[in-house]
Amino acid sequence: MGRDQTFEALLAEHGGMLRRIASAYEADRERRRELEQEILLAVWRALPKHRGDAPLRHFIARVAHNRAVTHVAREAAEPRRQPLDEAAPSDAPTPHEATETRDLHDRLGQAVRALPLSLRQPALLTLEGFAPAEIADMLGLNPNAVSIRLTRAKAALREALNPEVRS
Amino acid sequence: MTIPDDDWTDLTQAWTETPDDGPRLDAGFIRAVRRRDRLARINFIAELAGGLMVIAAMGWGLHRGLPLPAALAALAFGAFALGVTLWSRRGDPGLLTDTPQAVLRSAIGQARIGRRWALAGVATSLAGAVFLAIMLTMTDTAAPRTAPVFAGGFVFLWICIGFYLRHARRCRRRMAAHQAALDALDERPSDPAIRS
Repeated sequence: MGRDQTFEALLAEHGGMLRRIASAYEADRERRRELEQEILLAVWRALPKHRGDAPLRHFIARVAHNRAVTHVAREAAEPRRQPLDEAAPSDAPTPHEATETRDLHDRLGQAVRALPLSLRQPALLTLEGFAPAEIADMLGLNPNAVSIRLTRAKAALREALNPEVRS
Repeated sequence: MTIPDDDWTDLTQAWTETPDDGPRLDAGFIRAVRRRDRLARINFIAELAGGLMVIAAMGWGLHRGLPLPAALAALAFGAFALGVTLWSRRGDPGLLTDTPQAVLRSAIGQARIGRRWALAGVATSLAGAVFLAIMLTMTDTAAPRTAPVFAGGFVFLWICIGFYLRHARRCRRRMAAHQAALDALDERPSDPAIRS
Protein backbone atom coordinates (compact mmCIF):
# COMPACT_ATOMS: atom_id res chain seq x y z
CA MET A 1 0.00 0.00 0.00
CA GLY A 2 1.39 3.45 -0.95
CA ARG A 3 1.83 6.38 1.37
CA ASP A 4 -1.30 8.12 0.06
CA GLN A 5 -3.46 5.07 0.56
CA THR A 6 -1.96 4.47 4.00
CA PHE A 7 -2.75 8.04 4.95
CA GLU A 8 -6.31 7.84 3.68
CA ALA A 9 -6.90 4.55 5.51
CA LEU A 10 -5.34 6.05 8.62
CA LEU A 11 -7.67 9.05 8.46
CA ALA A 12 -10.69 6.83 7.94
CA GLU A 13 -9.76 4.80 11.00
CA HIS A 14 -8.18 7.35 13.32
CA GLY A 15 -9.49 10.71 12.07
CA GLY A 16 -11.93 10.85 14.96
CA MET A 17 -9.19 10.36 17.53
CA LEU A 18 -7.03 13.05 15.92
CA ARG A 19 -9.94 15.50 15.97
CA ARG A 20 -10.71 14.74 19.59
CA ILE A 21 -7.06 15.28 20.52
CA ALA A 22 -7.15 18.65 18.74
CA SER A 23 -10.37 19.55 20.56
CA ALA A 24 -8.73 18.80 23.92
CA TYR A 25 -6.08 21.43 23.23
CA GLU A 26 -8.03 24.10 21.39
CA ALA A 27 -11.60 25.30 22.04
CA ASP A 28 -11.83 27.90 19.29
CA ARG A 29 -13.27 26.33 16.13
CA GLU A 30 -11.06 28.09 13.61
CA ARG A 31 -7.90 27.52 15.62
CA ARG A 32 -8.91 23.92 16.15
CA ARG A 33 -9.24 23.48 12.41
CA GLU A 34 -5.73 24.89 12.00
CA LEU A 35 -4.44 22.58 14.71
CA GLU A 36 -6.09 19.59 13.00
CA GLN A 37 -4.23 20.52 9.81
CA GLU A 38 -0.98 20.94 11.73
CA ILE A 39 -1.47 17.53 13.32
CA LEU A 40 -2.31 15.87 10.01
CA LEU A 41 0.71 17.46 8.36
CA ALA A 42 2.92 16.25 11.21
CA VAL A 43 1.48 12.74 10.93
CA TRP A 44 1.89 12.80 7.12
CA ARG A 45 5.56 13.75 7.48
CA ALA A 46 6.25 11.36 10.33
CA LEU A 47 4.53 8.39 8.72
CA PRO A 48 7.66 7.11 6.91
CA LYS A 49 9.35 6.92 10.35
CA HIS A 50 6.87 4.34 11.57
CA ARG A 51 8.78 1.07 11.66
CA GLY A 52 6.04 -1.09 13.06
CA ASP A 53 7.62 -1.49 16.50
CA ALA A 54 4.50 0.15 17.98
CA PRO A 55 0.92 0.00 16.70
CA LEU A 56 0.10 2.73 14.17
CA ARG A 57 -2.59 4.15 16.47
CA HIS A 58 -0.03 4.50 19.25
CA PHE A 59 2.43 6.17 16.84
CA ILE A 60 0.01 8.77 15.47
CA ALA A 61 -1.40 9.58 18.92
CA ARG A 62 2.15 10.34 20.07
CA VAL A 63 2.83 12.61 17.08
CA ALA A 64 -0.54 14.34 17.53
CA HIS A 65 0.08 15.02 21.22
CA ASN A 66 3.55 16.36 20.58
CA ARG A 67 2.25 18.71 17.89
CA ALA A 68 -0.62 19.81 20.13
CA VAL A 69 1.61 20.56 23.10
CA THR A 70 3.77 22.91 21.03
CA HIS A 71 0.53 24.50 19.77
CA VAL A 72 -0.50 25.23 23.37
CA ALA A 73 2.85 26.86 24.07
CA ARG A 74 2.77 28.87 20.85
CA GLU A 75 -0.73 30.12 21.62
CA ALA A 76 0.46 31.16 25.08
CA ALA A 77 3.38 33.05 23.54
CA GLU A 78 1.25 34.83 20.94
CA PRO A 79 -2.24 35.04 22.44
CA ARG A 80 -5.25 35.77 20.26
CA ARG A 81 -7.11 39.05 20.50
CA GLN A 82 -10.32 37.40 21.64
CA PRO A 83 -10.49 34.94 24.54
CA LEU A 84 -11.14 31.26 23.95
CA ASP A 85 -14.79 30.53 23.40
CA GLU A 86 -14.87 27.78 25.99
CA ALA A 87 -18.60 27.77 26.48
CA ALA A 88 -19.74 28.19 22.91
CA PRO A 89 -23.10 26.48 22.52
CA SER A 90 -23.77 24.23 19.56
CA ASP A 91 -25.53 26.26 16.87
CA ALA A 92 -27.30 23.31 15.26
CA PRO A 93 -30.66 22.33 16.71
CA THR A 94 -30.70 18.62 17.56
CA PRO A 95 -33.11 16.13 19.10
CA HIS A 96 -33.31 16.06 22.89
CA GLU A 97 -31.32 12.85 23.39
CA ALA A 98 -28.59 13.91 21.04
CA THR A 99 -28.46 17.27 22.79
CA GLU A 100 -27.92 15.57 26.14
CA THR A 101 -25.11 13.46 24.73
CA ARG A 102 -23.62 16.50 23.05
CA ASP A 103 -23.92 18.50 26.24
CA LEU A 104 -22.09 15.85 28.26
CA HIS A 105 -19.41 15.62 25.58
CA ASP A 106 -19.03 19.42 25.50
CA ARG A 107 -18.79 19.64 29.28
CA LEU A 108 -16.27 16.81 29.30
CA GLY A 109 -14.27 18.60 26.59
CA GLN A 110 -14.23 21.79 28.66
CA ALA A 111 -13.22 19.83 31.75
CA VAL A 112 -10.38 18.13 29.86
CA ARG A 113 -9.15 21.47 28.48
CA ALA A 114 -9.23 22.92 31.98
CA LEU A 115 -6.90 20.22 33.30
CA PRO A 116 -3.26 21.21 33.77
CA LEU A 117 -1.05 19.91 30.97
CA SER A 118 0.52 17.27 33.22
CA LEU A 119 -2.90 15.70 33.88
CA ARG A 120 -4.49 16.48 30.53
CA GLN A 121 -2.14 14.30 28.48
CA PRO A 122 -2.56 11.03 30.45
CA ALA A 123 -6.30 11.69 30.89
CA LEU A 124 -6.82 12.29 27.19
CA LEU A 125 -4.88 9.18 26.22
CA THR A 126 -6.91 7.15 28.70
CA LEU A 127 -10.13 8.55 27.25
CA GLU A 128 -8.86 7.38 23.87
CA GLY A 129 -8.45 3.87 25.26
CA PHE A 130 -4.70 3.64 25.78
CA ALA A 131 -3.41 1.53 28.68
CA PRO A 132 -1.29 3.13 31.44
CA ALA A 133 1.84 1.28 30.24
CA GLU A 134 1.38 2.68 26.71
CA ILE A 135 0.79 6.16 28.12
CA ALA A 136 3.93 5.91 30.25
CA ASP A 137 5.92 5.02 27.14
CA MET A 138 4.44 7.85 25.08
CA LEU A 139 4.93 10.52 27.72
CA GLY A 140 8.30 9.36 28.99
CA LEU A 141 6.95 8.83 32.53
CA ASN A 142 7.08 5.83 34.83
CA PRO A 143 3.83 3.84 35.19
CA ASN A 144 3.43 4.85 38.84
CA ALA A 145 3.50 8.53 37.95
CA VAL A 146 0.90 7.89 35.24
CA SER A 147 -1.38 6.11 37.73
CA ILE A 148 -1.09 8.95 40.25
CA ARG A 149 -1.80 11.57 37.59
CA LEU A 150 -4.76 9.59 36.30
CA THR A 151 -6.30 9.39 39.77
CA ARG A 152 -5.96 13.16 40.17
CA ALA A 153 -7.24 13.78 36.66
CA LYS A 154 -10.29 11.63 37.19
CA ALA A 155 -11.11 13.38 40.45
CA ALA A 156 -10.82 16.74 38.70
CA LEU A 157 -13.03 15.60 35.81
CA ARG A 158 -15.68 14.19 38.14
CA GLU A 159 -15.71 17.38 40.13
CA ALA A 160 -16.02 19.48 36.99
CA LEU A 161 -18.85 17.33 35.64
CA ASN A 162 -20.68 16.99 38.96
CA PRO A 163 -19.75 20.02 41.06
CA GLU A 164 -22.09 18.97 43.87
CA VAL A 165 -20.30 15.61 44.28
CA ARG A 166 -16.96 15.91 46.02
CA SER A 167 -15.02 12.64 45.71
CA MET B 1 -22.44 1.55 44.19
CA THR B 2 -19.18 3.43 43.76
CA ILE B 3 -17.08 3.42 40.63
CA PRO B 4 -13.43 2.42 41.20
CA ASP B 5 -10.88 5.18 40.67
CA ASP B 6 -9.26 3.36 37.76
CA ASP B 7 -12.53 2.79 35.90
CA TRP B 8 -12.83 5.28 33.07
CA THR B 9 -15.49 3.38 31.10
CA ASP B 10 -18.29 5.94 31.38
CA LEU B 11 -16.03 8.89 30.63
CA THR B 12 -14.42 7.06 27.71
CA GLN B 13 -17.85 6.34 26.28
CA ALA B 14 -18.93 9.95 26.63
CA TRP B 15 -15.68 11.07 25.03
CA THR B 16 -15.59 8.74 22.03
CA GLU B 17 -19.20 7.91 21.22
CA THR B 18 -20.56 11.38 20.59
CA PRO B 19 -21.34 11.94 16.90
CA ASP B 20 -18.91 14.38 15.34
CA ASP B 21 -20.84 17.21 13.64
CA GLY B 22 -17.78 19.09 12.41
CA PRO B 23 -16.57 19.09 8.83
CA ARG B 24 -15.17 15.73 7.71
CA LEU B 25 -11.51 14.96 7.16
CA ASP B 26 -12.33 14.38 3.52
CA ALA B 27 -10.35 14.09 0.29
CA GLY B 28 -10.13 17.90 0.01
CA PHE B 29 -8.61 18.07 3.46
CA ILE B 30 -6.08 15.39 2.54
CA ARG B 31 -5.22 17.27 -0.66
CA ALA B 32 -4.67 20.46 1.39
CA VAL B 33 -2.27 18.58 3.68
CA ARG B 34 -0.34 17.22 0.71
CA ARG B 35 -0.23 20.67 -0.91
CA ARG B 36 1.19 22.23 2.26
CA ASP B 37 3.79 19.48 2.48
CA ARG B 38 4.74 19.96 -1.18
CA LEU B 39 5.01 23.75 -0.81
CA ALA B 40 7.18 23.37 2.29
CA ARG B 41 9.49 21.04 0.37
CA ILE B 42 9.67 23.37 -2.63
CA ASN B 43 10.45 26.28 -0.31
CA PHE B 44 13.20 24.27 1.38
CA ILE B 45 14.72 23.22 -1.96
CA ALA B 46 14.56 26.82 -3.24
CA GLU B 47 16.35 28.10 -0.13
CA LEU B 48 19.04 25.44 -0.47
CA ALA B 49 19.45 26.13 -4.18
CA GLY B 50 19.67 29.89 -3.54
CA GLY B 51 22.43 29.46 -0.96
CA LEU B 52 24.36 27.08 -3.19
CA MET B 53 24.01 29.44 -6.15
CA VAL B 54 25.44 32.34 -4.14
CA ILE B 55 28.40 30.18 -3.10
CA ALA B 56 28.95 28.95 -6.67
CA ALA B 57 28.66 32.47 -8.10
CA MET B 58 31.19 33.80 -5.62
CA GLY B 59 33.56 30.94 -6.39
CA TRP B 60 33.24 31.80 -10.05
CA GLY B 61 33.65 35.52 -9.28
CA LEU B 62 36.81 34.83 -7.31
CA HIS B 63 38.16 32.91 -10.27
CA ARG B 64 37.32 35.90 -12.50
CA GLY B 65 39.15 38.40 -10.33
CA LEU B 66 36.50 39.57 -7.83
CA PRO B 67 38.20 41.24 -4.81
CA LEU B 68 38.85 38.65 -2.11
CA PRO B 69 37.10 40.50 0.80
CA ALA B 70 33.87 40.87 -1.21
CA ALA B 71 33.92 37.22 -2.30
CA LEU B 72 34.65 36.00 1.23
CA ALA B 73 31.84 38.15 2.67
CA ALA B 74 29.39 36.76 0.11
CA LEU B 75 30.60 33.20 0.74
CA ALA B 76 30.18 33.67 4.48
CA PHE B 77 26.66 35.01 3.94
CA GLY B 78 25.76 32.11 1.65
CA ALA B 79 27.10 29.55 4.12
CA PHE B 80 25.24 31.28 6.96
CA ALA B 81 21.96 31.26 5.01
CA LEU B 82 22.42 27.56 4.20
CA GLY B 83 23.18 26.79 7.83
CA VAL B 84 20.10 28.67 9.05
CA THR B 85 17.93 26.91 6.47
CA LEU B 86 19.14 23.48 7.54
CA TRP B 87 18.92 24.37 11.24
CA SER B 88 15.35 25.60 10.97
CA ARG B 89 14.24 22.16 9.73
CA ARG B 90 16.13 20.36 12.47
CA GLY B 91 14.08 17.91 14.48
CA ASP B 92 11.00 17.94 12.29
CA PRO B 93 9.42 15.46 11.97
CA GLY B 94 11.80 13.04 13.70
CA LEU B 95 11.49 14.61 17.13
CA LEU B 96 7.71 14.48 17.03
CA THR B 97 7.99 10.77 17.61
CA ASP B 98 9.87 11.41 20.87
CA THR B 99 8.38 12.41 24.24
CA PRO B 100 6.56 15.76 24.67
CA GLN B 101 9.37 16.95 26.92
CA ALA B 102 11.97 16.30 24.20
CA VAL B 103 9.81 18.15 21.67
CA LEU B 104 9.49 21.15 23.98
CA ARG B 105 13.22 21.17 24.78
CA SER B 106 13.95 21.18 21.06
CA ALA B 107 11.48 24.05 20.56
CA ILE B 108 13.16 26.01 23.36
CA GLY B 109 16.56 25.38 21.74
CA GLN B 110 15.28 26.57 18.37
CA ALA B 111 13.76 29.71 19.90
CA ARG B 112 17.02 30.40 21.76
CA ILE B 113 19.07 30.12 18.57
CA GLY B 114 16.47 32.27 16.79
CA ARG B 115 16.92 34.95 19.44
CA ARG B 116 20.71 34.78 19.11
CA TRP B 117 20.34 35.04 15.34
CA ALA B 118 18.16 38.14 15.77
CA LEU B 119 20.56 39.77 18.23
CA ALA B 120 23.46 38.98 15.89
CA GLY B 121 21.42 40.66 13.15
CA VAL B 122 21.00 43.77 15.29
CA ALA B 123 24.75 43.86 15.93
CA THR B 124 25.51 43.36 12.24
CA SER B 125 23.06 46.09 11.24
CA LEU B 126 24.57 48.51 13.77
CA ALA B 127 28.03 47.66 12.42
CA GLY B 128 26.67 48.33 8.94
CA ALA B 129 25.38 51.72 10.09
CA VAL B 130 28.80 52.58 11.55
CA PHE B 131 30.43 51.49 8.30
CA LEU B 132 28.01 53.67 6.33
CA ALA B 133 28.72 56.62 8.61
CA ILE B 134 32.49 56.21 8.06
CA MET B 135 31.94 55.95 4.32
CA LEU B 136 29.84 59.09 4.46
CA THR B 137 32.72 61.07 6.01
CA MET B 138 35.01 59.87 3.20
CA THR B 139 32.60 60.62 0.37
CA ASP B 140 31.99 63.82 -1.52
CA THR B 141 28.45 64.54 -0.33
CA ALA B 142 27.99 67.16 -3.02
CA ALA B 143 28.10 64.49 -5.71
CA PRO B 144 24.69 63.69 -7.23
CA ARG B 145 22.71 60.75 -5.73
CA THR B 146 25.13 60.37 -2.82
CA ALA B 147 22.69 61.60 -0.18
CA PRO B 148 19.74 59.42 -1.33
CA VAL B 149 21.97 56.32 -1.46
CA PHE B 150 23.25 56.84 2.08
CA ALA B 151 19.82 57.83 3.37
CA GLY B 152 18.37 54.69 1.77
CA GLY B 153 21.10 52.60 3.38
CA PHE B 154 20.40 54.01 6.83
CA VAL B 155 16.64 53.56 6.46
CA PHE B 156 17.14 49.97 5.31
CA LEU B 157 19.38 49.19 8.29
CA TRP B 158 16.91 50.87 10.65
CA ILE B 159 14.09 48.67 9.28
CA CYS B 160 16.31 45.59 9.62
CA ILE B 161 17.03 46.44 13.27
CA GLY B 162 13.30 46.80 13.94
CA PHE B 163 12.64 43.44 12.30
CA TYR B 164 15.42 41.71 14.26
CA LEU B 165 14.30 43.21 17.59
CA ARG B 166 10.72 42.11 16.94
CA HIS B 167 11.91 38.61 16.10
CA ALA B 168 14.08 38.52 19.24
CA ARG B 169 11.08 39.51 21.40
CA ARG B 170 8.93 36.86 19.75
CA CYS B 171 11.60 34.19 20.32
CA ARG B 172 11.89 35.27 23.95
CA ARG B 173 8.11 34.88 24.41
CA ARG B 174 8.24 31.46 22.73
CA MET B 175 11.07 30.34 24.99
CA ALA B 176 9.09 31.43 28.05
CA ALA B 177 5.88 29.75 26.85
CA HIS B 178 7.63 26.50 25.93
CA GLN B 179 9.46 26.50 29.25
CA ALA B 180 6.14 27.07 31.06
CA ALA B 181 4.62 24.13 29.16
CA LEU B 182 7.65 21.99 30.03
CA ASP B 183 7.35 22.97 33.71
CA ALA B 184 3.63 22.20 33.61
CA LEU B 185 4.34 18.75 32.16
CA ASP B 186 6.89 18.07 34.88
CA GLU B 187 4.63 19.69 37.52
CA ARG B 188 7.32 22.20 38.45
CA PRO B 189 6.64 25.87 39.24
CA SER B 190 7.65 28.07 36.29
CA ASP B 191 10.89 30.00 36.53
CA PRO B 192 9.83 33.68 36.63
CA ALA B 193 13.25 34.76 35.29
CA ILE B 194 12.51 33.39 31.85
CA ARG B 195 8.98 34.80 31.72
CA SER B 196 10.00 38.48 31.63
